[in-house]
Amino acid sequence: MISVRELITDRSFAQEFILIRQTGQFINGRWVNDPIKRIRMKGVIHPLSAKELMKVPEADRITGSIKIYSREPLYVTTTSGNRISDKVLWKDQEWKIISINNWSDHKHYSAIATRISGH
Amino acid sequence: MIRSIREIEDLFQPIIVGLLNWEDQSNNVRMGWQTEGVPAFGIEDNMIFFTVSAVDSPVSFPYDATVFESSPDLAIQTSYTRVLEISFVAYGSDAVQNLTKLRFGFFKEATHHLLLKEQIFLVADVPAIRRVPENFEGRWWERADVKMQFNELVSDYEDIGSVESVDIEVWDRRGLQETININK
Repeated sequence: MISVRELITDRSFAQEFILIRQTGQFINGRWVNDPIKRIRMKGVIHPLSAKELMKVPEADRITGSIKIYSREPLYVTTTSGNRISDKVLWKDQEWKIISINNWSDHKHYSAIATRISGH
Repeated sequence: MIRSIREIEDLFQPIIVGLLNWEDQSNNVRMGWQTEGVPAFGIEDNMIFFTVSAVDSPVSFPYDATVFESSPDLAIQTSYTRVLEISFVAYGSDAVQNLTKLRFGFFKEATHHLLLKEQIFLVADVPAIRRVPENFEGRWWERADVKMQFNELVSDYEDIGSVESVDIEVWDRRGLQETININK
């Protein structure tokens, strides 16, 4: 039986990436970020959708998404811990996590993240 | 003064908190459209979200321009009335009541004076508060909406140069006869 948990850290598949964790708080109704935490992590990342060009009148926008497998928990925006979605720094781009699959019973997590810079 | 939308939001937020007497839960009055997204709230939480945008109105058409002395030169002040539409969305079991309190609150003399200092005036024609419960993940979340409009005086100042000196030349058929220099 294949253990996804082991594959995630297998040298043939795994790679290092930086996770950007952002907490914050509301001050006078406006969200104010705490200093970000950069966490070095290891996991499997692969493109989910091809990088696409959106032709809009103002500029060419670049979109795309990736899938991440990790042994460590990944988060989307939640009131617990007052945090907004984690971001992943991968291939010189920031990707924001928009969806989590909690496979913690099987000792891993998977997430989908979208490219956020837009250019 | 040309206020940014952010400045207008920051101006209104404490006023709304005060009108609802929510000083101990001031962060339950929140601005919408925050850049990175923010954590949500529970079905039982009484919340107010508001967004600000300018809208078209005939009162915005007149455009005033006044020239006045301003050391060392002259300045021009241009102004017009911007009509701000503030969209209020209330959640929680008291959503309708809370917007009703806000409606009463904005008509109060004290609120009028607060906004007067900022040259902002409620447009008295406030529409009905609509109850619009929202179906989210299998449950109906109590919600109410209302939009209120406010007239705001928007002014811009610009220093404009004045004439420092004028050279006048008097000519006739024989040529230049006289040069006169007039200084400020």
